[in-house]
Amino acid sequence: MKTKQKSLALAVVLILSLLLTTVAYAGTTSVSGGVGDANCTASKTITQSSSYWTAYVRSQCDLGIGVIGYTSWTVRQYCPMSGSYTVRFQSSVGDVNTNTNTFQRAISNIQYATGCGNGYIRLHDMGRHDFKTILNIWRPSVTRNEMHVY
Amino acid sequence: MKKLLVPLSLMLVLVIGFALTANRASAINSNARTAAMAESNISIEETPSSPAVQVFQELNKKGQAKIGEGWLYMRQSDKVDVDPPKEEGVVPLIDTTMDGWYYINAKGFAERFVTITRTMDGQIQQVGIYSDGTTWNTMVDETEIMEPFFFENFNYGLPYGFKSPDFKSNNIALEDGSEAVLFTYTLKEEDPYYAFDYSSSARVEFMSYEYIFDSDTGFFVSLKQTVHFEDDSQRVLSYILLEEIKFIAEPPADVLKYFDLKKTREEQK
Repeated sequence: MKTKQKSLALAVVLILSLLLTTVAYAGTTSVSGGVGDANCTASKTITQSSSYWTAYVRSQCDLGIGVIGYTSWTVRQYCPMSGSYTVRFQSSVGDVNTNTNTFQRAISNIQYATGCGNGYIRLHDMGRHDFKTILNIWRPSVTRNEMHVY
Repeated sequence: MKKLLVPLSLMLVLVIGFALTANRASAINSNARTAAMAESNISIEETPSSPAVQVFQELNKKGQAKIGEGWLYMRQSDKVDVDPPKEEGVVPLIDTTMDGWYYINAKGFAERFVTITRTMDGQIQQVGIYSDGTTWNTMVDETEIMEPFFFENFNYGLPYGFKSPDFKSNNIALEDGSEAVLFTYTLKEEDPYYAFDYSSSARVEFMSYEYIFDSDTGFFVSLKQTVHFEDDSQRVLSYILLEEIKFIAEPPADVLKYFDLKKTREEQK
């Protein structure tokens, strides 16, 4: 029995260790906090491919809460050489799920806008998350920036 | 001995996990360093040279030699063909023109610039201003710190195509009879995909790129980026034309005033 428990502990540590490495590699910016009794995480992720990219917004708690999602979300490209922006998604209205512990949205497969003279752009995934219970509110602002040379 | 086995195993796993994380973090930092270097001093990627790459490098050298100290003026237009958005919050790409004035110092670094992006009816969409180590954009009202950057001959990302196995060049004649070089390549993802800008179309099979550079000046002329769908249809996602590029004595007064506007805005913040 004890051997089984030890094996289980070892497996858990191994999985956690591997997860840790995956998180570091995922192109994610996260902020941890909480609302009421729930421990929550607000994160933005960018994934890139040769010809397109995807921006994610994710709000997650370990317990179900009244409202979970975002209050604002902007996905855009920036060309440092011209100081100009190409906005691809913008919501200041917000989007939420109710009475649950998770929310995720993605703006998928955005082809890179190529009007930047030296081909060097930055991708921005930014905005404010929304975590609410009857008595508490937590609204962290989280930004993920990534560079792309096309 | 058996008692030590479990703690030692746990330690080993943690050490391996940490080493893997550190290794990946180091790779990420290394990438960030490379990108940061690129931001302050962007250089053309050094890649084993195919004949087409060599042709580009020669042209680029020619164009770069023409960039000296002073104010460089450029005007580009960008025409796009995308679906109107179905989803709320999606901001579609639109046709624009951009006028840019760059002050390049004796060492070839851009110290100041103003770029004005307009919609096709002439309305100013946004102005980007760079001076005193910061950029400010009127549309988003945000300031960014940026070092002066080495001003490279415009290439609109052509070196990205060096990675493509079908990257090639052909000599062509432009409509006005002048000689030019056409560079072409394609980009294909592992699997076809539904693109953000073509929600009502078939899946994208591959993208093709056509760059034209002037043989005489070495300057960029145009870029056509075409999306090829699984049903054999195709659409031009973006057509960028560098309509004008020349050195001038000084930008017009209504352009220079943006430097004052930026200063005023930064003082207010």
